[in-house]
Amino acid sequence: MKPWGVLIVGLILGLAAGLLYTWVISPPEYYDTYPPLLDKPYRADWIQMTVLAYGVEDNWNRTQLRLQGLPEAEIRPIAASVLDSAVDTGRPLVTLQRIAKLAAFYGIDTPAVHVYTGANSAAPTPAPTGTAQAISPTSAPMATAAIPPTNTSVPVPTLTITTSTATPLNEFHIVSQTLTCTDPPHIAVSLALSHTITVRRREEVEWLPLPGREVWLLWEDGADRAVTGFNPEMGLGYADFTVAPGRVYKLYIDVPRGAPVSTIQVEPCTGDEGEGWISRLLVLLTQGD
Amino acid sequence: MYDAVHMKRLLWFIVGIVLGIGLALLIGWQLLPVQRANSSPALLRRDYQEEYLRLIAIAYQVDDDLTLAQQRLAELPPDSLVSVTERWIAQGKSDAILIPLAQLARDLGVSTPGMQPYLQRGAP
Repeated sequence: MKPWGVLIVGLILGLAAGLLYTWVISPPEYYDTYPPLLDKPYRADWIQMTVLAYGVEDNWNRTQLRLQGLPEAEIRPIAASVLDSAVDTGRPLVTLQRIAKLAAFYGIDTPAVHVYTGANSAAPTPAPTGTAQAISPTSAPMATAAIPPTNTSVPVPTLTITTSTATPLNEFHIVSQTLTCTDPPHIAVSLALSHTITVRRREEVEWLPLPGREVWLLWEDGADRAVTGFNPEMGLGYADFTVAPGRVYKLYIDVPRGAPVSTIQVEPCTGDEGEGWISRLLVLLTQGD
Repeated sequence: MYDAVHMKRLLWFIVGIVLGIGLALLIGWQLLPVQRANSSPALLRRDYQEEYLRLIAIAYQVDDDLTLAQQRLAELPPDSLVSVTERWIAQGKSDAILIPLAQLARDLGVSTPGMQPYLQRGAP
């Protein structure tokens, strides 16, 4: 072999050995690093805390600085998970809305994001309907009480709904109540907005489900809250509670003040209904226009 | 004659090896160092470490999970929480920053005189 050939062979071997050492055996240790260089679990923790902090602090610029350089593919699932967890643990509405805004910014498209950013909900201008009125229970199966689907074959007016727009008390009235016998018992509500549209010069009443509305159950020494829309297969206006047998509950929409929409006592099933407790699905309607 | 040629080749080979290793060190440590995302919070730049501390305190305010906060703090240099909080108190940082830090320090059993006003202001 020629001398230069030997030189090149030595060069290649030296290069390979050197790169093995510098890249694998003894890579440089970094100090003064920044979040994108954190180990994956720490990065996830950083992102999670940043999303949570945005819900508390509402500081958009600081949040963007904290997330700078981090891959969006990592931010997305964590932000979605933080939002879901915040919903589950009953964080304040304003916190949920901020987290949802951040999640939406990163392109997350979940029901929770829709509900808390108000992306598919509308804030009707309600017409007060007086006091709530209970109607006599029916024994129709639950499925029949579902809100009629929106007719999509006709032009539908565009509504803008924001979840932050609290509506007055008692705007809802019960239009149907379905009783079933279950154990444990539950109370479910399905909220809808009734409004009139004109189709081919004929006025038709349309019901739109209302997601993102707070539903409250208050009892003697406690309270529980749910937000409509988290069980999309039951309808965007649906929310439910597991309740205790024998207890008396007051049902409120949006804010737990004033006269309740309904007062419900969880009673045992009787006769042919079977064993267990009476569960209810209330369909509540409010007037839109 | 044969040995001289052989020695010359060996010399070229060694020169090649040395040059190759030198080039590799230059590439591997300076020009194209491997950037592994495997550092811990303790290796973050100081301002990021302080931000990490703030995030821990805010997260603790929200989730009330002291064990998790302790685990997170364990990744930072010891006494970071107290030293940073004291320094920021001296610098007159806002209540929004200092109250969560002071509350976390208190719940971890550390409470300095400087933190007291923030604990009182942060009391429900």
